[in-house]
Amino acid sequence: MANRIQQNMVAFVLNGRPFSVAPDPDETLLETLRQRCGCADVKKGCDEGACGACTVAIDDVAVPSCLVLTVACAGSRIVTSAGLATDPLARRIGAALAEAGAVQCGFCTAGVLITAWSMFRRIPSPDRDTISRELTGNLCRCGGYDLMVEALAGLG
Amino acid sequence: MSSPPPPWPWTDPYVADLSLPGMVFAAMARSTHAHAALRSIDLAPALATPGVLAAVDGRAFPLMGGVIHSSRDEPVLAVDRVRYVGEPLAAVAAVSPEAAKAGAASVAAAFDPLPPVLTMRSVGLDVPLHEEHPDNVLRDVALEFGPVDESFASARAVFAGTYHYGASTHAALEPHGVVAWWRPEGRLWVWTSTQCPHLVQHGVARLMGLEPSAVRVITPRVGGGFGGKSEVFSHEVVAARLSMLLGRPVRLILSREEVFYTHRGRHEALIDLRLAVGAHDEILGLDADIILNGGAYAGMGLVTTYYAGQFLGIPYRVGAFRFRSRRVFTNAPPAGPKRGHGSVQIRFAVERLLDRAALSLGLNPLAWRMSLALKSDETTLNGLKIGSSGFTRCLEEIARMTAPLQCGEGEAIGVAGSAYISGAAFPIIPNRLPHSQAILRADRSGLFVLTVGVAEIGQGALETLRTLVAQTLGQPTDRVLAVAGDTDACPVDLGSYSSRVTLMAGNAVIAAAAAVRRQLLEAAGDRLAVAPESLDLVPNRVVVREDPGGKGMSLTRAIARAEERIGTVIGSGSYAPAVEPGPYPGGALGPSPAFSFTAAAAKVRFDPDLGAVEVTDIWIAHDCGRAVNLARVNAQLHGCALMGLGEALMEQAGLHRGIMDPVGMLDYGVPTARDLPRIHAVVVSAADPAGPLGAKEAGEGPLLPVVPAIANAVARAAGLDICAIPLSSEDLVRPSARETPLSGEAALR
Repeated sequence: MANRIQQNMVAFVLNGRPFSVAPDPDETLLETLRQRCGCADVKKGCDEGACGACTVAIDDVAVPSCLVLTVACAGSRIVTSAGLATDPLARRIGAALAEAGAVQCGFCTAGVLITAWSMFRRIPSPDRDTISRELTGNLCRCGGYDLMVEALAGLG
Repeated sequence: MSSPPPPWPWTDPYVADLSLPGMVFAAMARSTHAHAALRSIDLAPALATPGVLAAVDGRAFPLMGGVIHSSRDEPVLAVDRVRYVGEPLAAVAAVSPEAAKAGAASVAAAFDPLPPVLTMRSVGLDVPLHEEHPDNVLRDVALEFGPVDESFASARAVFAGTYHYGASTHAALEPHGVVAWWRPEGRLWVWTSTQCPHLVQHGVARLMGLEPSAVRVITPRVGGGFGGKSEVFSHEVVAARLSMLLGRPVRLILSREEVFYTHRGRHEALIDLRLAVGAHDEILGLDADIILNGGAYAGMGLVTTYYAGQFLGIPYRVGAFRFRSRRVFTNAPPAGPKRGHGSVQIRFAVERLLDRAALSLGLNPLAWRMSLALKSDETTLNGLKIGSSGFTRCLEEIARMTAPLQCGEGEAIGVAGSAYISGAAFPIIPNRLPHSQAILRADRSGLFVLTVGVAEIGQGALETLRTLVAQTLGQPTDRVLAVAGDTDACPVDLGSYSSRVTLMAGNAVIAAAAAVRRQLLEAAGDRLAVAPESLDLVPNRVVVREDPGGKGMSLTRAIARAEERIGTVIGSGSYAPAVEPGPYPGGALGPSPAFSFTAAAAKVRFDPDLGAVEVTDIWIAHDCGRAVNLARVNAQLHGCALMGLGEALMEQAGLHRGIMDPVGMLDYGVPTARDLPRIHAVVVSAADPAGPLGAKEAGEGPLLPVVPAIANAVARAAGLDICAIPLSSEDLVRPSARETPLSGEAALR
């Protein structure tokens, strides 16, 4: 039995700190982060990978955490928006979004921040078209895309 | 003072992020039938589920819910009948969300199916949904203003069309949710994602058999509303009941599927419209027959029924008009208020028919609209008092921005106009009490703390109200803090709906700030031995207006002097509109202290082989009076453009084989960053004497003309008479697009 529990443990690095959890086999990373790891900054908007509110970076790639099984995250480096509170690039992104009026109800913002952060690490100077393509997986019902794209284009 | 670090707004908790000691989790069981008698319901299997602590069904709630007194028809949990798939049946509380879900899934209900009413075109043929409405019509409203038949008889030209507007839903990114806590002292605390904290306070109290004084409602950060969070919902009441049963806090967060069932979205509408044009191209008459698909319950539908007709004419001068407006019941999730409540559907119909008339009469659609525009201080036939109107300037701005453009093959530009209320002049529950109230306290530290009952739902209400206070006090906005959306802390405000906050709460906070300003200047004047009228407030200082560099004192000293003199430095303000209702039944539905105006244009590219529409540009010129916070107004214009684009081309939330379809974000087509046209937003400022520092609304009105502007552009580009929204490529590519839907009268036969 002890062996079995051992096998079910999943270890990953979350926001720079090692973490071990014992998830259910069908548990999504979103559930693990919100319910086991205290990551209230990761939002649940649709639970089917459509809205992007739960976006996190897994090994620097932005993905909706509701589509990832936690058991598949062993050994991964997971970053949520809260983990970027002191990251200079993320702070520049956050400040630019806020200044542009692109943070309205705010429910999409944490996911947008991760997507933008991941984009800038791959593409230091994205054009507007690239930015809007990258943001396609992050719905903003307040309709702030144009303001976001404008803000992010100014950072490149 | 060094500037604060940039904000991290996503660290503020939403209701789903709240946790309390001993908190348990709730889930709901919902109807799997569109229409059925509920023979029995058995909670025993749910109570036997591991981890389940309590369960309730409709027997726990003897009173019917409903926002409007005359149409309380909605049970908290179904009692003897279910009326749509997804209707709440029972609720279960458990030690974990998973256990609650398992418990809810095991609730055993037995049904006797009834014939469902699945479209509003089959009304009268089926079993009525509500015994008191045998014809399945909630309300049949007919109003006439001026000589309509004569106007049509004497018209130079008469145009007629039948228009169908599809249902859509708000799809706010944050799902609805609640944490309810029945506390040991016998009070109920409710954290909920709502636009209307005081409405929820009173609604939950009534349905729980409590006094309103026993209920405290708190809104944490709210992840969008758009009208979809402005009623009292079953999940709020059942969480309260479960908490009372258990003596523990209960959290209930809706899944996205449940949000689609909760709905209250845009009413599907079928509109028969006639237009009479006179010898001088004036609108002699409008005549509309409007049928609204209300879904299973009344909700705010009475208001929708009136608004659809009352706003037929604005923003234009109309010689005579009449309407008949009927809201029918169907076995669908209830429709309700969505951004531009009641007005968006009729705007589509009127603006389409105007465009067809312009084409037929050889009139320039933009110049013609300009000649029809309502001007400042006019009163409409149905008694709407237009304060300031910047509509002509809005159209001029659209003309200026679009005039130099060339349209290529398959491209065209369409225009449309609109007007909207800045808050309803009369509350849902008739009374003469203030609609908005505010308290402002000057703190010894030099801060001003505003308490106001509105809910911040992402629209920027608090920033706008803080700005109004700051401007009244001559201070930077960051010196003003706001405490909002807590019914224990804040005086009553009707809530963040009806585009009322800037005007109504704005007037209240300005009155509160003016009182504080007076107290500070009197205290400073006393100390400086000068008349208070000669003093002025500038950032961090009180100065003599004529000699700002001369004697004066710091703001904190002025506050301290005032405290010495009068005690706590506090000002209050309240606002009730000084507007008369129209002198006819229903005349209270429509009037507003001020009206915003909007003109919009859209440029589209149409591919006739694919039926594909690409919207390349949207122009919006919006008259919001004086823009208190230009960045926030601009964000609202962008949001309206995107939501209008979605309604015009992508979004539909109706029944498919008796079930709401879709019920997920993946299938419901909210516009993404890739669907983004170029948006050109311009603010026109026709300051209104009724508005705070001249301000009017900006959150809803700008949506109204976007949909018809797109439809008008497509009609021109494709050479089709567009009569249905959303536009579908399938319809546009086939000749069937030229067929009009069933007329309203035929639908009811």
